Amino acid sequence: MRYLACVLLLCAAMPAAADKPLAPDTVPGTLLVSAEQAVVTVQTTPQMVIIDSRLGEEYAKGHIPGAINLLDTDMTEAALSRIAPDRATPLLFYCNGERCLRSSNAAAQAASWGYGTVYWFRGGWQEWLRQELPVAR
Amino acid sequence: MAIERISLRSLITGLLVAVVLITVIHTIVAKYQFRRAALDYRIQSLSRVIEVAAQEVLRQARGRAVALGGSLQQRLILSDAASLGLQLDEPFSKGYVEAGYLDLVQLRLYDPQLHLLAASGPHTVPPLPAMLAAQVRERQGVDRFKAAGGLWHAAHGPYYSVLVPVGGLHLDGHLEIVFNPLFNLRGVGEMIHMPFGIQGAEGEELLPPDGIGTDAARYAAVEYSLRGLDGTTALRLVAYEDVDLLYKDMHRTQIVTSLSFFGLTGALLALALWLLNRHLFQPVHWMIGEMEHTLRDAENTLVTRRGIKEVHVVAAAFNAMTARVREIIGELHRLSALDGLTGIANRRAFNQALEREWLRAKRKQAAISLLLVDVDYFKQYNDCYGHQAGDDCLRNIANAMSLAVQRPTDLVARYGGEEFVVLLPDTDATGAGRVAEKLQRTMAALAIPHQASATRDIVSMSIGVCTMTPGKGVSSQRLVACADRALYRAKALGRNRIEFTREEDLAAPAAADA
Repeated sequence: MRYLACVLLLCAAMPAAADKPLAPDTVPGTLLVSAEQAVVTVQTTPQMVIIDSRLGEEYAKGHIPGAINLLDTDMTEAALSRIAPDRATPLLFYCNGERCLRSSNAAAQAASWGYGTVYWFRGGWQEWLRQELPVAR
Repeated sequence: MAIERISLRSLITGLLVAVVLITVIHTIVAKYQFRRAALDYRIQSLSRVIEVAAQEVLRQARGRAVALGGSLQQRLILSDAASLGLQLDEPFSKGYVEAGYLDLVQLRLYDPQLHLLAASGPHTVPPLPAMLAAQVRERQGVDRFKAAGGLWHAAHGPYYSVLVPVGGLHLDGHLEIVFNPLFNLRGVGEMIHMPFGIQGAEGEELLPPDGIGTDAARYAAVEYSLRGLDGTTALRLVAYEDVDLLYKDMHRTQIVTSLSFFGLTGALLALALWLLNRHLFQPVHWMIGEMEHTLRDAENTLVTRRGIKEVHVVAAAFNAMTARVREIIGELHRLSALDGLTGIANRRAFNQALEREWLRAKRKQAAISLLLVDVDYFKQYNDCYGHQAGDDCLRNIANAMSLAVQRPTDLVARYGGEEFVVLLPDTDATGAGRVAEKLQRTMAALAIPHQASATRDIVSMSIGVCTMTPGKGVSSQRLVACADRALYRAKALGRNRIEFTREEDLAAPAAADA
C-alpha cells in the first residue's frame, strides 16, 4: 500500500517536474499588476517605461505597444540607466508569463538599484494575448 | 370455445406461438419507428456538427482579421489624412499574407468616437451596423483595447466585421475589416464531408449545394441557423444527409439483428416446447392413460411418478387416494361378508360359498356335506339369562365352532337366529359325521350353563348332516333342504344329537328346489 502511494505520488509529480518552475507570486519592492491594471497604469502614467525582458526574436514577433526590449541577463544598471536615467521613472516589467522568471528577476534588480516605482506584470505576454489586447510588431 | 375441450399442450403451444408471432410483427412494425428515430437522431447530431464546424471556421476567420488589422495599423500614418483612403487600398492592391485567408470586402477607419475617417476601394458596403457600434462604445476599461466583431447581413448579402483598436494603448481610432463570411464558411462542407450549401436569411441560395444533382429526393436537408449581431438569422447552413444510404445501413443492421433475434427466439421456443413435451405434456398424457387403466380394472396398478413437480404431486395424490379407496373397499367387502354379532361368515357369504363349492363339486363329481346346527332351547336361554347373555352365548359358540373346523376350505357361518351352518367341500358322510361329533364335544367342553334346558344343564346343539354328490339339474338348495330335514328329525328325536341324511331326505319334493 505504501509502495503504491509512493508510485502514485511520483506519477503525479512527474508532469510538474517536466514543466518550467513557476514565477514567484510576488517580488519584494515591486507592485504586482494584471493586464487590465497594466493598461490603466500606462494610460494614467505617460512617462511610464515598459520593459520586455524576453529574447529579441520573441519581441520581434509581437509585443505590448511602446515596450522596449531588454533581456533580463543583458540588463545592467548602466543599461537600464540609459533607458530610464531618473530613478523616479515608473517601470513595468513583463515576460512570457507565469512560467517565465525573467521579468521577476529583472523587476527585483531594478528595485534593488533604487527605482522607486516598479510594476511587475506577472501574467505577461500569454495573458496579454488571451485578453486580445493590442499588439505591436 | 369451451376451455375444457382444450388440452394443456394445445394451450401452451398456442400461447408460445402467439408470443413469437406478436414479437415478429412488432419487430417488423418497429422498423419504421427505428428509421424515424435514427433519422431524427442523425439530423440532431449533424446539426450540432455543423454548428461546431461553423463556429470554428468563423473563429479562425476572426483571428485572421484581427491579425490583419494588427499588422495593417503599424503602417497606417494617421497624420496623413489626405492619403488615408489610398493607405487603406493597399491590402487590396498588394495582397497581405492574412488577406489570402479572407475575402476582404472593405477596410474602414474610424476615430475613437466611431466617426468614419476613410474607407477603401470602390466597394460600397452598408455603414457599420449600429449594434456593433453601440457594443464598442459601451465598453469600459481594458475592454476598449480589444477587437470586437460579428456577423451581419444587408440586402447585398452577408458580411463579417471586425473592429480593431488603432494606436496601441492610446486608442487613436478603430479599423474595421469587412469580409465575406461565405468564403470561409464554404470550408464547413469540406469538414463534414457531405453535400453542403448556404442560404440567406430569406432562403435564397448563396452557395448552391454540390454533388446532389437531380436526385434531390433521396437527401434530407439538415439546417443550422447562424445568428447575426442583431440576434436574427443571418445565414442558413444546410447539409444534405443521404437518406438512402442511411436507410441502407439501417436495413443491413436490422436484417442481421432480426435474423439473430428470430433465430434465438426460434431456438428458445423449440427448447421450451421440447422441455414442456418431455416433462409436462408426455407425463400428463401417460398419467391420464394410467389413471384410466387403474379405474377400469387393474387391482394394484399405481400411476408412475415422473415429469415436473406438479405432475409428481398429482400422481402421488392419485396413488394415495387409490390406495385409500382400495383399503376402504376391501374393508367394506370383508364387513359385508361377516355376521355383525358373532364375527363369523354371515348367511350371504355362506350362500356365495355354497354356490361356488356346489359348482366345483358338480364339476369334480365330489361329495359335499352340509351341517345345519341349531342351539337347543335358545329361546329359553334368552328368557332365563337375558339377551345380552344370549348374544355372548352365540359369540362363544361361533368362536368354538370356528376353532373346531380346521380345513381352510371349510366354512362356518351363522345361518340366522341360533342356527349355524358348516359347509364341508370334498367330504363324505363319514367325515361330516366326525366333524359333527367334534362340534358336540366342543360344546360339551365349552359347558355354558343352561338352567332352562330340558335336555341337559349346559347349552347343547342339534345337528342335521347331509352329504350329496351334485347331479345334473340339482340345485344347491336341495343340500340345504336335506340338511334341514335331518336337523328337524334330530330335534324331533329329543335334541342334542346328530341326524344323518336318509333316502327320503334326498328325494325331496320339487318345491324344495324352487
